[in-house]
Amino acid sequence: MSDRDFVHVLYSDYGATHFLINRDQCPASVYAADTVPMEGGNNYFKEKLIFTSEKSSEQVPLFNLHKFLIKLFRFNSNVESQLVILTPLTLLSEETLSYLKEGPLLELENCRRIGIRISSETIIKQIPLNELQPHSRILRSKLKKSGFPATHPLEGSMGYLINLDKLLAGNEGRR
Amino acid sequence: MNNDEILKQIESNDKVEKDIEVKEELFYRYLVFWIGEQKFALPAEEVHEILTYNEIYFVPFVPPYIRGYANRHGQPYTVFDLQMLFENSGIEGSHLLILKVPNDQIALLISDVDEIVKVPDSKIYSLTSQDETSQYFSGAVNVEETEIFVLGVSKILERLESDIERS
Repeated sequence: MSDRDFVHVLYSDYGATHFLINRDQCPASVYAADTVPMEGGNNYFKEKLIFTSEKSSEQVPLFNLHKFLIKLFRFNSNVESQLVILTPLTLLSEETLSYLKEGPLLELENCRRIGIRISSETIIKQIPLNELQPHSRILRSKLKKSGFPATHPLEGSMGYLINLDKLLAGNEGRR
Repeated sequence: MNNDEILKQIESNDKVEKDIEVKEELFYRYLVFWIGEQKFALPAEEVHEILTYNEIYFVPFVPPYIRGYANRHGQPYTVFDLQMLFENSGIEGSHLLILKVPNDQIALLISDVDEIVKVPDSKIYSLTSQDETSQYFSGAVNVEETEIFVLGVSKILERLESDIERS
C-alpha cells in the first residue's frame, strides 16, 4: 500500500460514535485554556483566542465543534474539550467565508484563522482509505451537504468523516 | 393397439396434462414478519438476509422513522422503523431485514420473523383503500384467511427522498 492509500485524520472518540477530521483541514492545534468571550456569534461561536506578539495581535474565533456534536448526536458526554485546531481561512470556501463574515466574524479584524474546539479525547491516526465508506445512497446528498461526507463503520462504533468547511456553513451550525 | 392408436392415446394424455398445467395456479413466496403487533409481508425475492439484533447508530438530519445506520460487513445500512412512519411510535425491534434494493443499502427494523409462505396468485390482490398508510403497500395477500399487507419498498423510499428534499 502506498501513502495514497491512507488518510491522516484527527480521531475523536465518543464511544459508539467517532468522528474523523482530515488533517489537511487543520494544520495546527493549541491547548485552549485562556479564551475570552466573543460578542455576537451564535450558540457555537461564543469565545475567541487572542494571540499577541510584539508586533501584532491576532484574534481567532472559536467554533465549539464538541458542543455541536454532543447536541446533534444526542450524546451524554462528560468529556472536556480543551483542544483547538486552527484552520486558516484560506482553506474555507467562499460560501462559508461569506456566512462567517456576516455573522461570527463580523466584529473581528485581522482574523486569518478560525479555531475549532474539539474533544480532549482526540488522537492523530492514519487510517486506510478503504475503511471509509460512502453513505447509503438515499442519505448521501443530505449528509454530504451538512458536513458529513463519509462513514467509517467499525465493529461497535460508527464513524463520520467531517468536512469542516461544509459543517461551518451548514444550517445546523448557524443555530 | 397399433401405433396410430398408441399415438392417439398418448397425445390425448398429453393434452389432458397440458390442460391441467394451464389450470394450475402460480404460487409466490412471501416472507411474513411482525412489526409491533401487526404482520406484514414482502416478496421473498426482495429480502436479502435476516439479521438478529445489530447495533444501530444514530444518523443526524433524517426523519424520525430512520432509526439510524446498521453496520453490515463494514457498510452502512439505512434502518427504517416503519411503525414510526405508520403510527408515530417506534418499535423495540430485534431483527433487521436486509433488503435487495438496487444501488443502495436499506434495512427494516422488525420485531420478529413469522414464516415464509407460498401464496397462490388468486390470494394476492390490490388494495382499494386510499388511507394515508395504504400508499406504502403494494397490495395484500390472504394467508389462512388473514389479510396481510405487502410493503411497497419503492413507495417507502420515495417518501424518504421527499422528506429529505424538503428538510
